[in-house]
Amino acid sequence: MKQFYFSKFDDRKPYKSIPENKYRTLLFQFTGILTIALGLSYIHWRWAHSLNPDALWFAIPLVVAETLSFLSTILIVINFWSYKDAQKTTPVHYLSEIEDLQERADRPVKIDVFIATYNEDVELVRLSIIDAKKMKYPYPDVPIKVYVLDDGRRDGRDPNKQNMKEVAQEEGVGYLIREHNEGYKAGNLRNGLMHTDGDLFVILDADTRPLPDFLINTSGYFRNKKMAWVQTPQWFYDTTEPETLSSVIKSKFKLKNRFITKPLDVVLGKIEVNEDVFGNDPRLFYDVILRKRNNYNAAFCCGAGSFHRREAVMTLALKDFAEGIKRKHKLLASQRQGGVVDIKSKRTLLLDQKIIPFKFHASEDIYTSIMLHADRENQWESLQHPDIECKMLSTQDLDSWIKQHQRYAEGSLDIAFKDNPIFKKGLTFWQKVCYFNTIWSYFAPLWILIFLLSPIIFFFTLQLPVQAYSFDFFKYFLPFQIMNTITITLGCWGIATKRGDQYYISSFWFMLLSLISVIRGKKVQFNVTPKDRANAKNTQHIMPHMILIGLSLLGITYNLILLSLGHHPTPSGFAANAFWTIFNIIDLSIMIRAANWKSED
Amino acid sequence: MKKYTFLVKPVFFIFNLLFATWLVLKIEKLSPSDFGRYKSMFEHTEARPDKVPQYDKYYLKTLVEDYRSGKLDSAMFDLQLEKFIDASVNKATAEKKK
Repeated sequence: MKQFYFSKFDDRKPYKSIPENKYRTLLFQFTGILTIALGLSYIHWRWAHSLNPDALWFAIPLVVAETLSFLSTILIVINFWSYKDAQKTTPVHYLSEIEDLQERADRPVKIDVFIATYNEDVELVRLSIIDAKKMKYPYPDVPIKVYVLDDGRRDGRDPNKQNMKEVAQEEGVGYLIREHNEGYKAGNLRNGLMHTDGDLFVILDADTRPLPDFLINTSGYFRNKKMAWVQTPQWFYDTTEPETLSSVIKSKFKLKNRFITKPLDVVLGKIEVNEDVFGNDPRLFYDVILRKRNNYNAAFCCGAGSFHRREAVMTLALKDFAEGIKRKHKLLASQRQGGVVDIKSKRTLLLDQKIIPFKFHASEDIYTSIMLHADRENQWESLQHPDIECKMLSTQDLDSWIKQHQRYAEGSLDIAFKDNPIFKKGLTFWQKVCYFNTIWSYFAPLWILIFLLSPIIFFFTLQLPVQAYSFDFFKYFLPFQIMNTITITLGCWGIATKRGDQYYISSFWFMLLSLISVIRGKKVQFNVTPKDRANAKNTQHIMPHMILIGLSLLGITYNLILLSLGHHPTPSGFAANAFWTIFNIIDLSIMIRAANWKSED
Repeated sequence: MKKYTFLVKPVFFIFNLLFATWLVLKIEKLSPSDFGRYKSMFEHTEARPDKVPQYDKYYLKTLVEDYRSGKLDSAMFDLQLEKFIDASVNKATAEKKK
């Protein structure tokens, strides 16, 4: 079997989900309300009493940024409010357990497993097929069929491409292709659904390897006849391992002299760096953000590792189909004399209209989730399952990371601009709040940019955005910040958030480019995330980060000179801004580390 | 007793909101000269005028406020005012010498 860079991680064990604790939840709610109250008081004071009238051009953007960021804090408290995990039950056996039969004969349920692929190494897909075939189920009469949905049409017709069909045949699984790539992954899934008949189906990406108990642990949720889909956490089992700081320094400077290396080991040997250097670990997202949305029935589908009820997506597709025909018929009738549409045109209309179970969109998963949640007639429910049931690969170089995250951002923003869930009929108030939260997070570069620039502006203009860093400033700011930190710590209990925080700040530039691209109306591209390692340097991506760090250091030096000469007008302002900029530099530096990171093998 | 357990959460949140409001209002009233001036940061009942610097305007303001509200009697107020004036004069002289 082919060896991949991740083969050595095969034995890694998945993390356990955070157990629910009602006392911790109550404490979180208590501190959450205090954070919002203190935040409101701080923001009120900032607008009413703190603006520097001599530098409003600087003071107002900063206070606007702080207000927008505070809105995020409120949304986080709402999102993190409480867990609501569903009761785990035994796997389903008969169709009658998951559907109302309405005079149909009962039979064992049928389950399909779709592995969507485009251009990935066929041996990588083979690993996913093997693991999919290993999935256990307690009832032998329940048919579980695995299908490879190959959008790369690698069926042997092109000698320059690997033969995916051959691999599927060798493994004894189904192989489905289509002659075009319309709708990208959503179109590929549609093709799979049109050629299969499973009552439930699992979506896996080419690199998604299900664990043996996937179906056993998740199919029982569908006893709830409103359950449209169950999303399981995506666990990236190939994230970079921590290294000691001393070993990094030794290899970087090729140090071998033991009189140098020994003291280095003693002093820095316990400090670990480079763990998950690309900030890929999605635990915070799946175990906290999405899982806590179960509370509002607003956990959305993320594609790979999700388990669906065919009836839900097909009902939605048929509804769209009917509405589409109605709309086109109305349009056609308005163009015809007397409003009469002839049979031929009606037939063309019917043939042209497609049944689309997953929306044809770069973010087909979240878009379809919004549509299903908004279906008041059927009142579909969704669930974020807490435990890991599959493993997959993360991006292994900065370029791929950026492309992947820009696709997420552009997809979500595109939905916000074209079919905003806030105005979507059928969604509940809290579902709207949760979807708004997701979209709002992609506007963060607007205020992050101001937070990054503010200390630099101070260093070179010596103008303060506040009247003074006085007692009043700290009496409002510190309680809010301290309480905010306590609240976030309680909300994310048991999960390291350092790397996530760093990437939240340092990805500002790429997210800003995505925002601009969507505002300019550029079509959202569906980029397939590369599944292999590219050890190329990505210096071009980190120029904004290097410029900001350079300006910060230059600014600090300039201010230190002024201070030493006794010419600095506001030493307290310098102290506050220097402190602030050091945090900015630490956050920005992770992107530089990621750009220069090279795997050892 | 069990039939009243449904009240626990609403009561908890009402207390939570009241506490948050109280905290915000108390923080708003804090001023620098309050540090060490009273036995408790939040309960300004027992004044400790000796524990704070004697020469800033916040101190003077709160001294008058405490006298007005009856926390200081006239003898103590007189004494503290004298100390304040002395400290201010000393500070001004020191600054002039500089």
